[in-house]
Amino acid sequence: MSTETENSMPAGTDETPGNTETAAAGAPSAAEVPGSDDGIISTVAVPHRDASNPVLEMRSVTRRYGKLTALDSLTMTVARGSIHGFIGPNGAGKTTAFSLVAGFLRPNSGDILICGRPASEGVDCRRGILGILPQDARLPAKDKVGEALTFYARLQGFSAAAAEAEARKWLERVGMIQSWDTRCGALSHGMSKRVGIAQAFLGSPRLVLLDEPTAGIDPANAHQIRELIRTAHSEGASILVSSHNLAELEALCDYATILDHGKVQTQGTLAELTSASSEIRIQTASDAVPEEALANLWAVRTFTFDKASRTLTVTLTSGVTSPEPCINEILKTLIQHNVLIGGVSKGHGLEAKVISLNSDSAAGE
Amino acid sequence: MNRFKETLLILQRELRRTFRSSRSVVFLLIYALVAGLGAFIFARVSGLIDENVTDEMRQMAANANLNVYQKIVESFFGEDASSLEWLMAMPPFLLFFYKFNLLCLPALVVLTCFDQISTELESGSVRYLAPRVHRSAVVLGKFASSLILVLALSSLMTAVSLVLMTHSTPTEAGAGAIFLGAVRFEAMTILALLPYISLTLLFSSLFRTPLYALMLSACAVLVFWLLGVLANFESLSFLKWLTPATYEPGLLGAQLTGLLKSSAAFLGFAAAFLGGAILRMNKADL
Repeated sequence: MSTETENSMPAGTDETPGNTETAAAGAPSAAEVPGSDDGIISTVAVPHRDASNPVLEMRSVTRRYGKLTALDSLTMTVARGSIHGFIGPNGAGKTTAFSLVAGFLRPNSGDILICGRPASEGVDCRRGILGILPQDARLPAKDKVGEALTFYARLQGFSAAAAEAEARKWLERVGMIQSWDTRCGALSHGMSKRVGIAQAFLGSPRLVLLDEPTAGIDPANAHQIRELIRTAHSEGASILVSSHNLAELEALCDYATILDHGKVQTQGTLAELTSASSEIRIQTASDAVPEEALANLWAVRTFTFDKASRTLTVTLTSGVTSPEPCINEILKTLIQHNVLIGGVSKGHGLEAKVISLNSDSAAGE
Repeated sequence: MNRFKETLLILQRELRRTFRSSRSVVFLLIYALVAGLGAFIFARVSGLIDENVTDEMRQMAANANLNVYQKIVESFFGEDASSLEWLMAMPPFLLFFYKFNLLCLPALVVLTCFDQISTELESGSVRYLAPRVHRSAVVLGKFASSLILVLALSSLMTAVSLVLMTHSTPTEAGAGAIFLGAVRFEAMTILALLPYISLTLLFSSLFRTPLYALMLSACAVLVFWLLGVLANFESLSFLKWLTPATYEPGLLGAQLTGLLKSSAAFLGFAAAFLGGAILRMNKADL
């Protein structure tokens, strides 16, 4: 199946690593974002991204578990006002990075700054500033949902009445207010996740870390959570979110870091990461393609031809920054070999990029 | 927010959990039943004696039994003459409950507190606390709530014994002296139990699996007991200094120095174990 995908980026996010130019301040602009199978298509309100004023900086952060290096000199920055995607295969080091920022773990070396303050300050640089949805952490089973969230809000400095109001506000936003008196242990996985997300946003922290917020959640609720993330973002929160659902990240984020084996493989705005989309699909009207000729093209790293659908899928060499000349070269080769072209589409940008990077990484091992 | 307020908030939550927990309620009920049953039997026997024994017979029996009773008190609380004087003046029932508390509460502390931290570590719920509160406040809040639970259990026994005494037990001491004695017993009980609460929290912080924390805490209490037994052998007598029970008699002594030394020993044990738990939590990967 071939889909035509326009990788349109929200306005004001066209920033390159070397170019910290920011979008104009003012009312959030709206932009259409790419669609996906589970109906992610929606309109994003994008507050301006201020890379000169980061909410999180990780500088050469290394974390080892015994002999295993989970994070290897990780350097990354989360700009104020951004939704920053954190992408990588299982074991890439995403959760370790989250845990280091949240203070669950300590780095072996390197510095972490949260809103300009060293993470080594402990709770004082996190309370009320950082919210986190940890992966696989269960809420206290015997506590009621309402009292658990009220308690967490109180720990952030809210008075008893204000804490309860804050807990109610966020439970309403995640659609869990009806579970106020339910024990956390009685909640389903999806419901727990939503309550967990509510606790992460308690007190409207400046930086929110969401470790796979929609994992194991049905599409309707996942959609609701994405909307919540957008709303919180439009209210001023900067968000670092990890997910294996790349379409979701593409829909949500303005910037992404791709991680593998504890190292940053690449990072940049979604526009940068997806413009060099490394996968293209060519719909043909022929039963065969000139395999030898394609294999000899420098721009082609791998390709597959599905005879049933007569679709040629080509993965471009990872060094390609602009795919158009490569596409021209491939089409020219196909035409020279009398292959009839029915249509051309770029693959799903972020997904193609991640798959391409992962294959490069596997090939390099 | 300072650490004291953090600790208070943790304490509030832990108390709510503790007194809502079926396990704690069951232990409270069992303790109340034991206390009530003991009180009932004691009162009944005393009543029967009062009804059937003449004053002359009672005097003879009392004289004959005085030495036996003194031996029992000595075996329970040591041979310190200064403490024996006021202990002998206390109603036997109060002494019995005090000794019962000292013997049973360490086990009860282990059974009620072993999972305080390990459950949070196992489930990962401690991660919801970590960005909001100092880890030491988590340990101290849980310690304080355990202390209050033990205080509640011990107070239950003391209250029952006091009520009983006012109704049925003749004593040479006045009501005021008995009340003060009860308060002192209560304070000493708590002091003597501090090391066990801290020790249980230490093991609870060391293991993510509550069952391991329970087993190791129970083993530690047994080791303390074993050290006390082994210390009876002359060549191993030094071992007695390693077990908190050694310092219990000093708590009841009439001399201030003895009381202070024993108190310092218990506080030292407690501080070492609690410090260990805080250190462990501060270093732990959550």
